Amino acid sequence: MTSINTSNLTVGAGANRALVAQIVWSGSMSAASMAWDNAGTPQTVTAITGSTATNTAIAQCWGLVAPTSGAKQLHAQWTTARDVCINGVSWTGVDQTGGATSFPHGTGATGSSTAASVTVTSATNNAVMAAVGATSASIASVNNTQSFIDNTPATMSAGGNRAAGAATVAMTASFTSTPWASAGTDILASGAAATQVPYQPQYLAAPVMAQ
Amino acid sequence: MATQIIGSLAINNLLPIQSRGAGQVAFGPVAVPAGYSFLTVQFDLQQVQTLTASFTTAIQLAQDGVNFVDAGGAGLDLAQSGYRLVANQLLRAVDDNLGTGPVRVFGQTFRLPGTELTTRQVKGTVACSEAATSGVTLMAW
Repeated sequence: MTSINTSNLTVGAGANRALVAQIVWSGSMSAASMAWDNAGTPQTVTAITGSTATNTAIAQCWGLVAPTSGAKQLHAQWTTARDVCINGVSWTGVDQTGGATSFPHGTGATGSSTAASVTVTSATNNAVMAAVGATSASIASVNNTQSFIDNTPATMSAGGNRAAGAATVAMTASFTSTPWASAGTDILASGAAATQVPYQPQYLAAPVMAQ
Repeated sequence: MATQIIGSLAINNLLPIQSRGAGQVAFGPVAVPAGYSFLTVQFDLQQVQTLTASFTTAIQLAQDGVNFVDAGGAGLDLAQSGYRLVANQLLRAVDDNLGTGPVRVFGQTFRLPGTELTTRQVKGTVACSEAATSGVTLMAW
């Protein structure tokens, strides 16, 4: 596919909101873009600087500050047909500057062991998210708080997790085989601690492109 | 040759493979039995002979059987896909990690929450931007 819409995501009405999307493609692609409230008044979600990793699969984190509250559509599109998994998580208490200020310390890691890990620089009161994917392995588990695991696509597996901030936070996943790619990001607190909206449903899209 | 899909619990051949004009087709509402977690919408691409068509699908789910809400969608824009048309057959890109073989299907799987419910109904649309020979299969699993 070259586009996907996810619509099971509701952003709450709390202060200093942010939306972070974890996305994994099954292979190389280009010209990716993402929008929140795509069916209404679209807001551009941007790739978080540095939060990318490629090892056949591509894992990235994307972010948006001040997303419109409500049940909206998260849309992504790109060039080159790929399987994709996408998951959105909304937060309150996030710095509203945007870009690398609100989502600092983006980083990526790749490897060929069965234990994926990306270490994110963060701080107390911040939060951390990561996405991980592989094209020839299934994900058994992720550490910290799982946001999703999807082993159903024909050509890849993907997962995501989140954690409270600390000086450094290791975001890991356990695979059945290799290789893997993982991308993480810090989420800067607005002063008070960043808090995931507690009633936030998380959406997982599990495409198939069996060929 | 038609795509044969195995391993799912329920298959609905929504649109048999045949020559079709451009446009959108609505389906449902269809009852989703309790216990089913996913709905897959799959387009057959084996006889598609264009690199300019777009295939799209959108799904709505009503957990109570009445109030439908958007459950997502997906699209394949062949002009953006990187696929090649060789001897009237869609082939994957030359650098595709799956190899350069034929493209047979395009599909999307949607999560269906509330698996314990017996009231769930799903409906949606499938569309193609131009005339093509294709078909669509729904699978609940």
